[in-house]
Amino acid sequence: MKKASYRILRLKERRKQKKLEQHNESQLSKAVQEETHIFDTEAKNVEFIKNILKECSDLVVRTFVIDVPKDLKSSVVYLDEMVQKDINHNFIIRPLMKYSDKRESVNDLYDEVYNHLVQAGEVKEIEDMKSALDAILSGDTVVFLDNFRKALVVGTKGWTTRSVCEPHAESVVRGPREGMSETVVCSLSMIRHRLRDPFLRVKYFTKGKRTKTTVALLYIEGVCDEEVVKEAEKRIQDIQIDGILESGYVEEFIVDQMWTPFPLIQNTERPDSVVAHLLEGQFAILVDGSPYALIAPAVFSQFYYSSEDYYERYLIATFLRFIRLLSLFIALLLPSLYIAFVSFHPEMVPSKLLIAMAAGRATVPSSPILEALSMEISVEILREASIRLPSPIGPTIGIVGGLVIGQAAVQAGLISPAFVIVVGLTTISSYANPSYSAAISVRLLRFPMMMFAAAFGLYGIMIAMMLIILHLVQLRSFGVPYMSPFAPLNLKALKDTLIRVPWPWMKKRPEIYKVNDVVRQGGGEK
Amino acid sequence: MNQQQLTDGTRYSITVYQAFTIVVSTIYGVGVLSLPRDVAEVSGNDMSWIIIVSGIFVGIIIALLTALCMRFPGQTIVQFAPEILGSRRSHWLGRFLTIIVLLIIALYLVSGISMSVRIFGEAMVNAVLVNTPIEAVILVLLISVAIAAGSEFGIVAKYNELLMLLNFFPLVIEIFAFIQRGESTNLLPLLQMNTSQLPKAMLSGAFAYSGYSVLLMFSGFYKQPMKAWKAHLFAIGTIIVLYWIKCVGTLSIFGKDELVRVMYPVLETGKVIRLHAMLFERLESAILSIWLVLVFTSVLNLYACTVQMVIEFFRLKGRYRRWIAFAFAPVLYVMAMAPENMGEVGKYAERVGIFGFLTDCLPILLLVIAILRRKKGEMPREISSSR
Repeated sequence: MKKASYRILRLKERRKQKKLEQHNESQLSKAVQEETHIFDTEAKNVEFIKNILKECSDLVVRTFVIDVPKDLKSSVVYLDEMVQKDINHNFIIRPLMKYSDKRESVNDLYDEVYNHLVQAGEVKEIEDMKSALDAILSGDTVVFLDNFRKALVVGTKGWTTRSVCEPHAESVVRGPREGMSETVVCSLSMIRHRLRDPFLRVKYFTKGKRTKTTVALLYIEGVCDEEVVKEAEKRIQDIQIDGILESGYVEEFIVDQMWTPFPLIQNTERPDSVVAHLLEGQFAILVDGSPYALIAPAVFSQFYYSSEDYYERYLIATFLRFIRLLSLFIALLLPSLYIAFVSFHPEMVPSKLLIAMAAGRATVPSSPILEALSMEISVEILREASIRLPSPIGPTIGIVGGLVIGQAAVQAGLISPAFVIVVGLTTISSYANPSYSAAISVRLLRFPMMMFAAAFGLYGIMIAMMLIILHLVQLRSFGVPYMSPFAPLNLKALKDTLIRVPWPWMKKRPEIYKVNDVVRQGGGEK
Repeated sequence: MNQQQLTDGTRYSITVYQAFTIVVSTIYGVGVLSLPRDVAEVSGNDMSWIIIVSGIFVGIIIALLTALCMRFPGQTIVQFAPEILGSRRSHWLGRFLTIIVLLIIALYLVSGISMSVRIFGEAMVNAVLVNTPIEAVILVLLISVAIAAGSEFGIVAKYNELLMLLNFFPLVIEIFAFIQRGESTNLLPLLQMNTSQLPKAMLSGAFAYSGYSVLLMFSGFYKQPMKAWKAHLFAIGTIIVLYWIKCVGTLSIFGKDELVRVMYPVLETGKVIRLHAMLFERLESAILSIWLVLVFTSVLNLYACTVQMVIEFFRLKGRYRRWIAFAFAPVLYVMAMAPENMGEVGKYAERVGIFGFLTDCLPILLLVIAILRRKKGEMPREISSSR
């Protein structure tokens, strides 16, 4: 009974919603439906566009007369800030205005305009008002002519962009210093520049009902698994949202599993890294407005890989990987180990160290877990504050933060000196991780870990580890097990995991991502 | 929102290496803690060869079980037992006998889990967490294993695979202790045992290897069922070596007379190490914590088998797996807490060991019947087409 009434209520609500939507539609975009054909006079067209884009002061409409026997009115429509004005002035408006031919019949004029007058590379013919509007809004220029029920769209996109600069979140000592920028075209140029493969596929999707953001799917045909590409396409197409401002939006829509602290899709702002992943058989997604490319299928190894590993000599790269893996464990475990040793297993600590630690803790008022939690949380606050703070007053944070977690706190007897070392080491270790989003998930997992340690000591830590590993084993990213190549074990792919063998030994692609074209070296240059 | 995941598309996902790790980590569980004492009580100094001989004996049983599994590739015991025992005329008889067989195996699995958990909990409380109530320790372990057992077999297999190397980690510490403190005079003299005691000694050795009946369930999921030989025999070989090192090592450190008095000989080896350059002293907490991994995987495999048995027997859908796993947890907890003290736990454990050994022999009977009745399963199309 209750259920039925609830259902009716919901039905009513839905009807209301639908009405509202219809109302909106009629107000805003009734005219923007695809059926509206371009009108036969220029004036009507301009009127139509002005009607929709009313109160848009940046809309530029230049109307002029082309000098043919029967004076033909024409107009050029564009948004002021979105176009390259040089092209508009010199190669569209000027030739059209200067043109003068008394013999020409009106009917041939359209071809003349298309073939000779509009001097630009990317020219398209359109027949409906919707595409004209889309073109104007994305920075192209539309040319309307009297007497013709079609219009020309000239590619003149040219908004202001940031210049190419070094990627801040993933800097390397040796390796390219270019980072991708906010426009897909620009990022794509950097990728194409490095990967001149005719089999590189770039598929554009327009996503976001209002933002109409370009989302590009990149993969190398024949290397990337087709099933995975199909699945990715499907998931991108299923996105229904009004706006996409960053690749993070897309990431959360296409990810396999939401309930996980681990990043199942990798991100990078390095074009060389994108190319490397494409070559290994993964696909990349670029989103207009974000310098971060998404890379999937991702595996756990992103927690300790850096693109530099492949540029530096193999021995050093292997050493660095071990260091990063060690730091991963320190970041995850050190505070909880401290808690476990202090509260449960003092017998394991050598006696001299134990005496020193006990002396340090003598004045500390709180239990180890409270001490640890308060310190770790204040470090997190410090980290967050230092990111948000404008750079001129940035150093302040360093000084104040140093006071909070440093000498002053120890002297006041609030924290034991040993734990200050633990906190410092943990924080430094968590930033030895090359990927920010991976590092942050480890920082997050530290807290439940500390709880387990406070409850059961080393036993609790191991139980928590077992559960984390179980979760890792269960995860999949686009069908690829997250822990591969360790589980399921793939001996060949182990060449590039904990260690990195020299390039000449990696004759084949790692078979983690079900690649099609396995051979990487030899077989002749193509 | 969970996206529909791309899967391997087949239930036959367990690789040969995963099969190897499953068998190793199931057998190599909590019993190892007291293994040298249990064997030494009966066989004394002769344990250094008894353990190998009884291992080979168990290896033969495993080979027979493997033969049974390979007769019905891609099927678990729940599926092939009715086929072996039943006939077209008396359908109910086969079902009835199957229920009995399965019940015995399930009873063994459940009691095995609860005893393992209890023994580990006792060891933990005695050695490390002195002030923690054993109920809490057992409950935490059982809940986390139940969470893990609620996942599919493919994931359990991957889990075993990933944690395989940790099985060998305590070995490093132990070998170090043997080198430092072991004395070869403790190992001799050999052949002091009466021949009348030999069968008893062999059995006490064989109990230590129990747990391999899980392969009756897991083998239904193998990717290459015809390579099961390799995996299983390598596994038992590995375990014989591991056990031998442990037995000989502890014997050389403690000597026969002291060994039978030590509660957990393998754990004690952690205490005898003396190293001045080491950051940590008294490693038994660390050893016991790493031991948790072995107990966890071993119990998990038994647990997952029990859950899978229920699911297959009642033909339930996979999504109930998690709830069945949780439903077992209270039963296991009560069973684990049933013995009142450590002495009783020992008695129960011994009974479970004997019971387990008999249970593991039950499938051999099935094999004999299958051969006599010429019953044989067919290779599922998915497996044969994938190769």
